[in-house]
Amino acid sequence: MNIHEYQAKDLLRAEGVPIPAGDVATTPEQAEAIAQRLGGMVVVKAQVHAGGRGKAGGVKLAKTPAEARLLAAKILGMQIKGLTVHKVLVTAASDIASEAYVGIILDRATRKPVFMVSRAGGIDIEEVAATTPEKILKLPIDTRFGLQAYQANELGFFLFDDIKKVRAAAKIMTQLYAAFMRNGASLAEINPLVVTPAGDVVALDAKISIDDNELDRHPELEALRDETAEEPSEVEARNAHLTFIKLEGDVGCVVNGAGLAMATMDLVKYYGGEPANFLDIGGSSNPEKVVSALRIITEDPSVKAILFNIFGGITRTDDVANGIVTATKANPLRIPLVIRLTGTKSSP
Amino acid sequence: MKILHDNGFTASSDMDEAVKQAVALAHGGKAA
Repeated sequence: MNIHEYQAKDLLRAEGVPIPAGDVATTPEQAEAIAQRLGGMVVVKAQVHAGGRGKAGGVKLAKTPAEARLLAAKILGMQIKGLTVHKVLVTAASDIASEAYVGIILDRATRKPVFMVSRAGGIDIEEVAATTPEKILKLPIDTRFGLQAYQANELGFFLFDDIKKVRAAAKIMTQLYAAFMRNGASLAEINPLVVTPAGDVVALDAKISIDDNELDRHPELEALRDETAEEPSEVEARNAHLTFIKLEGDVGCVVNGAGLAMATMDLVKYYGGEPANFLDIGGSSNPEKVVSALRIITEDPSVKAILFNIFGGITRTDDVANGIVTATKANPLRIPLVIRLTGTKSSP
Repeated sequence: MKILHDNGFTASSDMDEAVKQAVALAHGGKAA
Protein backbone atom coordinates (compact mmCIF):
# COMPACT_ATOMS: atom_id res chain seq x y z
CA MET A 1 0.00 0.00 0.00
CA ASN A 2 1.35 3.37 -0.99
CA ILE A 3 0.87 6.33 1.30
CA HIS A 4 1.14 10.01 0.54
CA GLU A 5 4.26 12.09 1.04
CA TYR A 6 2.74 13.97 3.99
CA GLN A 7 1.86 10.66 5.67
CA ALA A 8 5.34 9.25 5.05
CA LYS A 9 6.84 12.41 6.53
CA ASP A 10 4.69 11.99 9.64
CA LEU A 11 6.03 8.44 10.09
CA LEU A 12 9.61 9.68 9.65
CA ARG A 13 9.07 12.64 12.00
CA ALA A 14 7.91 10.17 14.64
CA GLU A 15 11.39 8.62 14.46
CA GLY A 16 13.08 12.02 14.70
CA VAL A 17 14.05 12.59 11.05
CA PRO A 18 14.52 16.36 10.50
CA ILE A 19 11.81 17.49 8.08
CA PRO A 20 10.65 21.04 7.31
CA ALA A 21 7.33 21.94 8.96
CA GLY A 22 4.21 21.55 6.85
CA ASP A 23 0.58 20.53 6.77
CA VAL A 24 -1.92 19.14 4.31
CA ALA A 25 -4.75 21.13 2.72
CA THR A 26 -7.80 20.14 0.70
CA THR A 27 -8.87 23.70 -0.19
CA PRO A 28 -6.97 26.80 -1.39
CA GLU A 29 -8.09 28.64 1.77
CA GLN A 30 -6.55 25.96 3.99
CA ALA A 31 -3.34 26.19 1.96
CA GLU A 32 -3.23 29.95 2.50
CA ALA A 33 -3.81 29.55 6.26
CA ILE A 34 -1.00 26.98 6.52
CA ALA A 35 1.36 29.24 4.56
CA GLN A 36 0.43 32.13 6.85
CA ARG A 37 1.18 30.01 9.91
CA LEU A 38 4.52 28.78 8.53
CA GLY A 39 5.65 32.25 7.43
CA GLY A 40 8.17 32.85 4.64
CA MET A 41 8.25 31.00 1.34
CA VAL A 42 6.43 27.68 1.05
CA VAL A 43 6.22 24.84 -1.43
CA VAL A 44 2.78 23.63 -2.51
CA LYS A 45 3.00 19.93 -3.45
CA ALA A 46 0.34 17.73 -5.06
CA GLN A 47 -0.34 14.59 -3.01
CA VAL A 48 -0.85 11.72 -5.44
CA HIS A 49 0.63 8.25 -5.66
CA ALA A 50 2.72 9.06 -8.72
CA GLY A 51 6.24 10.15 -9.49
CA GLY A 52 7.09 13.11 -11.69
CA ARG A 53 4.84 15.52 -9.79
CA GLY A 54 7.22 18.42 -10.35
CA LYS A 55 7.45 17.86 -14.11
CA ALA A 56 3.65 17.66 -14.25
CA GLY A 57 3.33 21.08 -12.61
CA GLY A 58 2.20 19.68 -9.27
CA VAL A 59 4.99 21.23 -7.17
CA LYS A 60 5.23 25.03 -6.96
CA LEU A 61 7.04 27.61 -4.87
CA ALA A 62 4.93 30.36 -3.29
CA LYS A 63 6.40 33.59 -1.94
CA THR A 64 3.29 34.69 -0.06
CA PRO A 65 0.22 33.03 1.53
CA ALA A 66 -1.96 34.58 -1.20
CA GLU A 67 0.23 32.98 -3.87
CA ALA A 68 0.01 29.67 -1.99
CA ARG A 69 -3.79 29.90 -2.24
CA LEU A 70 -3.64 30.62 -5.98
CA LEU A 71 -1.23 27.76 -6.63
CA ALA A 72 -3.26 25.35 -4.49
CA ALA A 73 -6.34 26.30 -6.53
CA LYS A 74 -4.45 25.35 -9.70
CA ILE A 75 -3.00 22.12 -8.34
CA LEU A 76 -6.12 20.79 -6.59
CA GLY A 77 -8.16 18.95 -9.20
CA MET A 78 -5.18 18.61 -11.52
CA GLN A 79 -4.64 15.23 -13.20
CA ILE A 80 -1.20 13.66 -12.74
CA LYS A 81 -0.69 10.36 -14.54
CA GLY A 82 -4.44 9.79 -14.52
CA LEU A 83 -4.84 10.54 -10.82
CA THR A 84 -6.80 13.53 -9.56
CA VAL A 85 -5.13 15.70 -6.93
CA HIS A 86 -7.40 16.01 -3.88
CA LYS A 87 -4.80 17.23 -1.37
CA VAL A 88 -1.73 19.44 -1.34
CA LEU A 89 1.09 19.55 1.16
CA VAL A 90 2.12 23.07 2.10
CA THR A 91 5.61 22.97 3.51
CA ALA A 92 8.29 25.49 4.43
CA ALA A 93 10.73 26.06 1.55
CA SER A 94 14.39 25.18 2.12
CA ASP A 95 17.52 26.54 0.51
CA ILE A 96 19.55 23.71 -1.00
CA ALA A 97 23.33 23.39 -1.14
CA SER A 98 23.38 19.74 -2.25
CA GLU A 99 21.00 16.81 -2.73
CA ALA A 100 21.48 13.12 -1.96
CA TYR A 101 19.34 9.96 -2.17
CA VAL A 102 18.67 7.57 0.70
CA GLY A 103 16.38 4.58 0.43
CA ILE A 104 15.65 1.12 1.79
CA ILE A 105 13.97 -1.57 -0.28
CA LEU A 106 13.06 -5.11 0.62
CA ASP A 107 15.34 -7.12 -1.62
CA ARG A 108 13.95 -10.52 -2.60
CA ALA A 109 17.31 -11.81 -3.83
CA THR A 110 19.12 -11.30 -0.51
CA ARG A 111 15.90 -11.56 1.54
CA LYS A 112 17.01 -8.52 3.46
CA PRO A 113 16.28 -4.82 3.63
CA VAL A 114 18.90 -3.15 1.47
CA PHE A 115 20.05 0.43 1.89
CA MET A 116 20.72 2.34 -1.30
CA VAL A 117 22.41 5.70 -1.01
CA SER A 118 23.80 8.08 -3.60
CA ARG A 119 25.21 11.58 -3.84
CA ALA A 120 23.08 11.93 -6.98
CA GLY A 121 19.86 12.90 -5.23
CA GLY A 122 16.73 14.71 -6.33
CA ILE A 123 16.50 12.75 -9.56
CA ASP A 124 15.12 9.39 -10.59
CA ILE A 125 17.27 6.81 -8.77
CA GLU A 126 16.40 4.12 -11.35
CA GLU A 127 18.06 6.31 -13.96
CA VAL A 128 21.18 6.64 -11.79
CA ALA A 129 21.23 2.87 -11.27
CA ALA A 130 20.95 2.27 -15.02
CA THR A 131 23.49 4.82 -16.22
CA THR A 132 25.97 5.31 -13.35
CA PRO A 133 25.60 2.38 -10.92
CA GLU A 134 28.97 3.22 -9.33
CA LYS A 135 27.27 6.28 -7.82
CA ILE A 136 25.08 4.04 -5.66
CA LEU A 137 26.15 2.17 -2.52
CA LYS A 138 24.00 -0.87 -1.70
CA LEU A 139 24.19 -2.29 1.80
CA PRO A 140 22.08 -5.30 2.89
CA ILE A 141 21.07 -5.31 6.55
CA ASP A 142 20.82 -8.45 8.67
CA THR A 143 17.51 -7.98 10.49
CA ARG A 144 18.71 -10.15 13.39
CA PHE A 145 21.08 -7.35 14.38
CA GLY A 146 19.55 -4.31 12.68
CA LEU A 147 21.51 -1.39 11.30
CA GLN A 148 24.79 -1.18 13.19
CA ALA A 149 26.48 2.14 13.98
CA TYR A 150 29.48 1.33 11.76
CA GLN A 151 27.11 0.61 8.85
CA ALA A 152 25.23 3.87 9.37
CA ASN A 153 28.60 5.67 9.33
CA GLU A 154 29.67 3.81 6.18
CA LEU A 155 26.51 5.03 4.46
CA GLY A 156 27.09 8.55 5.76
CA PHE A 157 30.69 8.61 4.51
CA PHE A 158 29.51 7.54 1.04
CA LEU A 159 27.34 10.66 0.93
CA PHE A 160 29.46 13.31 2.61
CA ASP A 161 33.09 14.21 3.33
CA ASP A 162 32.42 16.54 6.23
CA ILE A 163 32.23 14.60 9.52
CA LYS A 164 29.40 16.73 10.91
CA LYS A 165 27.23 15.91 7.91
CA VAL A 166 28.31 12.25 8.02
CA ARG A 167 27.10 12.01 11.62
CA ALA A 168 23.83 13.77 10.80
CA ALA A 169 23.27 11.44 7.85
CA ALA A 170 24.15 8.34 9.91
CA LYS A 171 21.55 9.35 12.49
CA ILE A 172 18.95 9.77 9.73
CA MET A 173 19.86 6.29 8.36
CA THR A 174 19.13 4.83 11.80
CA GLN A 175 15.83 6.70 12.01
CA LEU A 176 14.84 5.68 8.49
CA TYR A 177 15.62 2.04 9.25
CA ALA A 178 13.52 2.25 12.43
CA ALA A 179 10.59 3.66 10.43
CA PHE A 180 11.02 0.95 7.78
CA MET A 181 10.95 -1.88 10.32
CA ARG A 182 8.35 -0.45 12.71
CA ASN A 183 5.82 0.14 9.92
CA GLY A 184 6.39 -3.05 7.96
CA ALA A 185 7.49 -1.13 4.89
CA SER A 186 8.61 -2.65 1.61
CA LEU A 187 10.15 0.66 0.56
CA ALA A 188 11.16 3.82 2.41
CA GLU A 189 13.05 6.59 0.71
CA ILE A 190 14.14 10.16 1.23
CA ASN A 191 14.75 11.88 -2.08
CA PRO A 192 16.20 14.37 -1.80
CA LEU A 193 18.08 14.38 1.45
CA VAL A 194 19.43 17.90 1.27
CA VAL A 195 22.17 19.88 2.89
CA THR A 196 21.15 23.48 3.52
CA PRO A 197 23.62 26.37 3.11
CA ALA A 198 23.83 26.39 6.93
CA GLY A 199 25.04 22.76 6.81
CA ASP A 200 21.90 21.10 8.17
CA VAL A 201 20.93 17.72 6.72
CA VAL A 202 17.17 17.62 6.07
CA ALA A 203 14.64 15.30 4.37
CA LEU A 204 12.74 17.28 1.75
CA ASP A 205 10.66 14.50 0.22
CA ALA A 206 9.70 11.05 1.44
CA LYS A 207 8.04 7.96 0.07
CA ILE A 208 6.95 4.87 1.99
CA SER A 209 5.17 1.75 0.72
CA ILE A 210 3.68 -0.55 3.33
CA ASP A 211 3.75 -4.31 2.78
CA ASP A 212 0.07 -5.28 2.38
CA ASN A 213 0.67 -8.34 4.56
CA GLU A 214 1.50 -6.03 7.49
CA LEU A 215 -1.79 -4.16 7.42
CA ASP A 216 -3.73 -6.63 9.57
CA ARG A 217 -1.43 -5.94 12.48
CA HIS A 218 -1.13 -2.23 11.72
CA PRO A 219 -4.71 -0.89 11.61
CA GLU A 220 -3.30 2.61 12.16
CA LEU A 221 -1.50 2.29 8.82
CA GLU A 222 -4.53 0.78 7.06
CA ALA A 223 -6.34 3.95 8.19
CA LEU A 224 -3.91 5.97 6.05
CA ARG A 225 -5.21 4.35 2.87
CA ASP A 226 -6.55 6.86 0.36
CA GLU A 227 -8.83 4.99 -2.03
CA THR A 228 -9.28 8.08 -4.20
CA ALA A 229 -5.58 7.80 -5.08
CA GLU A 230 -5.82 4.17 -6.18
CA GLU A 231 -6.93 2.40 -9.36
CA PRO A 232 -10.77 2.09 -8.91
CA SER A 233 -10.79 -1.53 -10.12
CA GLU A 234 -8.15 -2.46 -7.55
CA VAL A 235 -10.24 -0.84 -4.78
CA GLU A 236 -13.33 -2.78 -5.88
CA ALA A 237 -11.34 -6.01 -6.03
CA ARG A 238 -9.90 -5.53 -2.56
CA ASN A 239 -13.38 -4.91 -1.16
CA ALA A 240 -14.47 -8.19 -2.81
CA HIS A 241 -11.47 -9.97 -1.23
CA LEU A 242 -9.85 -10.59 -4.59
CA THR A 243 -6.17 -10.15 -5.32
CA PHE A 244 -6.16 -7.95 -8.40
CA ILE A 245 -3.56 -5.91 -10.22
CA LYS A 246 -4.47 -3.95 -13.31
CA LEU A 247 -2.10 -4.46 -16.24
CA GLU A 248 -1.86 -3.03 -19.74
CA GLY A 249 -2.95 -5.96 -21.93
CA ASP A 250 -6.28 -7.15 -23.42
CA VAL A 251 -6.72 -10.72 -22.12
CA GLY A 252 -8.70 -10.58 -18.88
CA CYS A 253 -7.61 -13.42 -16.59
CA VAL A 254 -9.65 -15.01 -13.78
CA VAL A 255 -7.58 -17.64 -12.02
CA ASN A 256 -7.58 -19.44 -8.68
CA GLY A 257 -4.29 -19.34 -6.85
CA ALA A 258 -1.43 -16.90 -7.25
CA GLY A 259 0.95 -19.49 -8.72
CA LEU A 260 -1.49 -20.56 -11.41
CA ALA A 261 -2.29 -16.90 -12.08
CA MET A 262 1.41 -16.18 -12.67
CA ALA A 263 1.75 -19.26 -14.89
CA THR A 264 -1.35 -18.18 -16.82
CA MET A 265 0.09 -14.74 -17.46
CA ASP A 266 3.34 -16.32 -18.62
CA LEU A 267 1.44 -18.56 -21.01
CA VAL A 268 -0.64 -15.67 -22.35
CA LYS A 269 2.61 -13.84 -23.17
CA TYR A 270 4.13 -17.04 -24.58
CA TYR A 271 1.30 -17.24 -27.11
CA GLY A 272 1.73 -13.59 -28.10
CA GLY A 273 -0.90 -12.00 -25.90
CA GLU A 274 -0.79 -9.51 -23.06
CA PRO A 275 -2.66 -10.08 -19.80
CA ALA A 276 -5.02 -7.26 -18.83
CA ASN A 277 -4.72 -8.12 -15.17
CA PHE A 278 -3.54 -10.41 -12.45
CA LEU A 279 -6.62 -11.76 -10.67
CA ASP A 280 -6.60 -14.48 -8.05
CA ILE A 281 -10.05 -15.47 -6.80
CA GLY A 282 -8.38 -17.41 -4.00
CA GLY A 283 -8.62 -20.98 -2.90
CA SER A 284 -12.09 -20.94 -1.40
CA SER A 285 -15.38 -21.84 -3.02
CA ASN A 286 -17.47 -18.73 -3.35
CA PRO A 287 -19.59 -18.01 -6.43
CA GLU A 288 -19.87 -14.37 -5.33
CA LYS A 289 -16.14 -13.93 -5.91
CA VAL A 290 -16.59 -15.07 -9.49
CA VAL A 291 -19.41 -12.60 -9.98
CA SER A 292 -17.25 -9.77 -8.59
CA ALA A 293 -14.27 -10.85 -10.68
CA LEU A 294 -16.28 -10.82 -13.92
CA ARG A 295 -17.80 -7.45 -13.10
CA ILE A 296 -14.37 -5.89 -12.47
CA ILE A 297 -12.85 -7.34 -15.63
CA THR A 298 -15.75 -6.41 -17.90
CA GLU A 299 -15.60 -2.81 -16.65
CA ASP A 300 -12.16 -2.54 -18.26
CA PRO A 301 -12.68 -1.36 -21.87
CA SER A 302 -9.26 -2.66 -22.94
CA VAL A 303 -10.25 -6.30 -22.28
CA LYS A 304 -11.04 -8.06 -25.57
CA ALA A 305 -11.39 -11.64 -24.28
CA ILE A 306 -11.75 -13.25 -20.87
CA LEU A 307 -9.94 -16.39 -19.79
CA PHE A 308 -11.02 -18.46 -16.80
CA ASN A 309 -8.32 -20.82 -15.66
CA ILE A 310 -9.52 -22.87 -12.70
CA PHE A 311 -7.76 -25.83 -11.17
CA GLY A 312 -10.11 -27.15 -8.53
CA GLY A 313 -8.38 -28.25 -5.35
CA ILE A 314 -10.07 -26.64 -2.37
CA THR A 315 -11.94 -24.57 -4.93
CA ARG A 316 -14.99 -26.41 -6.21
CA THR A 317 -15.34 -25.99 -9.92
CA ASP A 318 -19.15 -26.30 -9.70
CA ASP A 319 -19.15 -23.18 -7.51
CA VAL A 320 -17.05 -21.36 -10.09
CA ALA A 321 -19.38 -22.56 -12.88
CA ASN A 322 -22.41 -21.33 -10.93
CA GLY A 323 -20.66 -18.00 -10.45
CA ILE A 324 -20.03 -17.69 -14.19
CA VAL A 325 -23.67 -18.52 -14.99
CA THR A 326 -25.02 -16.10 -12.36
CA ALA A 327 -22.71 -13.28 -13.43
CA THR A 328 -23.39 -13.62 -17.15
CA LYS A 329 -27.16 -13.86 -16.64
CA ALA A 330 -27.10 -10.64 -14.64
CA ASN A 331 -24.73 -8.91 -17.05
CA PRO A 332 -24.57 -10.59 -20.47
CA LEU A 333 -21.04 -10.57 -21.86
CA ARG A 334 -20.17 -8.58 -24.96
CA ILE A 335 -16.73 -10.12 -25.29
CA PRO A 336 -15.72 -13.77 -25.76
CA LEU A 337 -15.15 -16.02 -22.77
CA VAL A 338 -12.83 -19.02 -22.72
CA ILE A 339 -13.08 -21.42 -19.80
CA ARG A 340 -10.56 -23.96 -18.64
CA LEU A 341 -11.90 -25.97 -15.74
CA THR A 342 -10.53 -29.07 -14.13
CA GLY A 343 -10.30 -30.67 -10.70
CA THR A 344 -12.77 -30.93 -7.83
CA LYS A 345 -16.36 -31.44 -9.03
CA SER A 346 -15.46 -30.80 -12.66
CA SER A 347 -16.98 -34.09 -13.82
CA PRO A 348 -20.74 -34.67 -13.64
CA MET B 1 -18.61 -28.87 -16.81
CA LYS B 2 -22.26 -29.95 -16.89
CA ILE B 3 -23.44 -26.69 -15.34
CA LEU B 4 -21.56 -24.73 -17.98
CA HIS B 5 -22.71 -26.88 -20.89
CA ASP B 6 -26.34 -26.75 -19.69
CA ASN B 7 -26.12 -22.97 -19.77
CA GLY B 8 -24.64 -22.71 -23.22
CA PHE B 9 -20.95 -22.40 -22.39
CA THR B 10 -18.12 -24.46 -23.73
CA ALA B 11 -15.23 -25.38 -21.50
CA SER B 12 -12.25 -27.62 -21.62
CA SER B 13 -9.72 -28.99 -19.20
CA ASP B 14 -6.76 -28.15 -21.47
CA MET B 15 -4.97 -25.06 -20.17
CA ASP B 16 -2.70 -24.73 -23.17
CA GLU B 17 -5.56 -24.74 -25.66
CA ALA B 18 -7.66 -22.38 -23.55
CA VAL B 19 -4.90 -19.78 -23.37
CA LYS B 20 -4.24 -20.05 -27.12
CA GLN B 21 -7.96 -19.51 -27.80
CA ALA B 22 -8.18 -16.52 -25.47
CA VAL B 23 -5.17 -14.84 -27.09
CA ALA B 24 -6.55 -15.49 -30.59
CA LEU B 25 -9.95 -14.05 -29.62
CA ALA B 26 -8.37 -10.98 -28.03
CA HIS B 27 -6.55 -10.39 -31.31
CA GLY B 28 -9.83 -10.54 -33.22
CA GLY B 29 -9.35 -14.09 -34.42
CA LYS B 30 -11.59 -17.08 -34.02
CA ALA B 31 -11.43 -19.62 -31.25
CA ALA B 32 -9.49 -22.73 -32.23
